[in-house]
Amino acid sequence: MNQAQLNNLALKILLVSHGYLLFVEKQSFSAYTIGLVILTIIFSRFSEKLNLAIETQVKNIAQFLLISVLTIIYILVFIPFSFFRKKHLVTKSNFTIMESDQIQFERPW
Amino acid sequence: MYTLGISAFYHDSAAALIKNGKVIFAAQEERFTRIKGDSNFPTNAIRFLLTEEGITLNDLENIVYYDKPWKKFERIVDTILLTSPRSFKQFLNAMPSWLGEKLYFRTLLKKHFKNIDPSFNGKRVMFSDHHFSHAASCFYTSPFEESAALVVDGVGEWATLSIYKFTKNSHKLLKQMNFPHSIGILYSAFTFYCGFKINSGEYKLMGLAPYGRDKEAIKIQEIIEKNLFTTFDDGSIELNLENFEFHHGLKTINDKRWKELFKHSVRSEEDELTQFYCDFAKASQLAVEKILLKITKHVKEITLSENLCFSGGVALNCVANSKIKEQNLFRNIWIHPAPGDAGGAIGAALGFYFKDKQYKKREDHFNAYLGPEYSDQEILRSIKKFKLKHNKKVIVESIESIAKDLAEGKVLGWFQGKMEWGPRALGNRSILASPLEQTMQKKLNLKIKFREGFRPFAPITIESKAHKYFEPNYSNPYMQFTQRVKSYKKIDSEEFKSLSNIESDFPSITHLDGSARLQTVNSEQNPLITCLLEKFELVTGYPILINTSFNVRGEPIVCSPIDAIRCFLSTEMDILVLGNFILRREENLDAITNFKPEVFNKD
Ligand SMILES: [Fe+2]
Repeated sequence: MNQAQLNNLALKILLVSHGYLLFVEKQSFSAYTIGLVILTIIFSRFSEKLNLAIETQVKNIAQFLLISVLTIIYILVFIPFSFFRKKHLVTKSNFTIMESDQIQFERPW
Repeated sequence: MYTLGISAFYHDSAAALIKNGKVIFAAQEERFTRIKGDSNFPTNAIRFLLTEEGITLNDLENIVYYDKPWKKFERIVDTILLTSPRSFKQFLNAMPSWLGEKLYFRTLLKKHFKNIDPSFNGKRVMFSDHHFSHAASCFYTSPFEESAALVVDGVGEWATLSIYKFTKNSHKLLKQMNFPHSIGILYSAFTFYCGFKINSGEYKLMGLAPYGRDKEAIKIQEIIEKNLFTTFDDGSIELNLENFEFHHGLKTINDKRWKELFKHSVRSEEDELTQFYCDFAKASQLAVEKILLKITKHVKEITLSENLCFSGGVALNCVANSKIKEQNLFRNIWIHPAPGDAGGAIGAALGFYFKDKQYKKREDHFNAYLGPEYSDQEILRSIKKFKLKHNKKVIVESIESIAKDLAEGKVLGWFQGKMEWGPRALGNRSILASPLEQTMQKKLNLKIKFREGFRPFAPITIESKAHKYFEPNYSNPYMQFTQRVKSYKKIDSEEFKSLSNIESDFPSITHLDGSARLQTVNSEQNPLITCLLEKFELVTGYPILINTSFNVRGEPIVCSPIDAIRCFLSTEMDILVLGNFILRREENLDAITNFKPEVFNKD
């Protein structure tokens, strides 16, 4: 049994026992407890959905913000810089002569 | 002195452990996670090799990653700049993962290592170069002390093709071709156009090519060469980028333009394979072969070497490899069993180890059995888990009866010793059957492999006897070349373009053009399967078996006894040989009926 199921069981026991107190023993105070238990049950179900909705909305907002920031960067940085980036012309070969004999293992670049 | 090599985060993640310059263990992550081509950090593969050697991460002298992530990032940014504003979608797609994690690469790797071993002391990770890792994986496992090395793949950081010259104590990068001009990506574009998956369907395109008609293929090849790229005399190419989208968008090709050029739309996976796509497959194979032959000629000219080490994903094209071999420019050609990105794990570690040491070829220079091995107890535990009936006998004593079963047409799951390194089953995780039956190709496809029916299976034979049945005669221990079946008779009619009409002594392993993707073995390399082939020859007169990977379609090759048992229970395999244990289908029918098989995405 997980935590939520245990809570649910406890609430049901409260409901039954105070139902007995109210209707059989005529303890009017139990009516408040029953009301409170019913509210807790409704709210616990509702709060789960509420949490999920808030989480989804926050995710959507974060994603929207990220896309907006990236779009701004793209428009302000990438598009203007692209005018200075020229395509190299290939004529007789598309090989680049390298002549290198070292690998810099320490660097990630 | 231990060095760990890692390749990860793109496709085919893998890890390799090197001890004093020799590869002692290596495995791909997909075999443990059962996700084909798994690109996640190779946590399971690393755990396996540390446990097997009885060491911890802190015992490693060096850890080397197979490429330079920042250089890759530079290429992505530069390409986005060059193709702006069309690159907007690619920009949005690539940036979050780069800015989020990939740029802080050392931290990212450290996090993964801590996950494997919380006491990891944070050793500084080294970074190799993508194409150097490929070239090093090939040269430092080769039987040469001097060689030219050619790397051809989709793309590394910038390079798509590199030419190196290696000697025993140095290496020199001579020439490079850079992104976006790539032979690997070009072949992937052909693969995509014919309806197969990029990064896994390339071998299917190669297998489809023999169904193409010569005349039609030549016409298509002309259109390809005129419109898709320009080839220069040295074999370098320039792609006509108007016909492609991979460099700025999320798609590989410009569908509309390809439709205008070839008068056929991109085929989707479910569509019927019409004659056009067979002709196209042949044309694309011919086009790529033509480029590679020019390039290898240029490699010879600038290196003057007698030896060639060929690596990169394109080196998996064994049909093209044979053409290169038959060109006779190089006396010897060596292709590592995992020439793709997984092999980069071995190359990164070996390249780093030999940076200040001399490479000496050894007699036992390399063997491909580098993966996990399971004891009798572990196998028995797995058999008991599934409550299966079995017989136990030392395997060598059962080989004769197994050969008789094979001769009777039974299909066998063969699980022995250490798992193979690389994408091919090399006789330790194989499904074996007799190649002598005309219907075996169909039977294997329908009952076990569930793969497309157009490809024949691969044969395995004894190295010293291969010349009797295959030509040209050379050893082919890792299935890197195709050879011709001697008994094949060419049928000159377009009507007979079906594997069921092949005239050959071994119909299920002979392709339409008479070729076979052979593996040769000897008793030093794999004594058990060599012995089985000898016994099979005693019964049937032929030392040849069908050898296909031990898996079903879409599943990685089996790694553990449990994977093998699952495959046995979910197919119509007749016999499963797990080390010294033999399980028969007819004795386990209840377990087979009650077994719920795993569903794998089709590759
Ligand atoms: Fe690569």
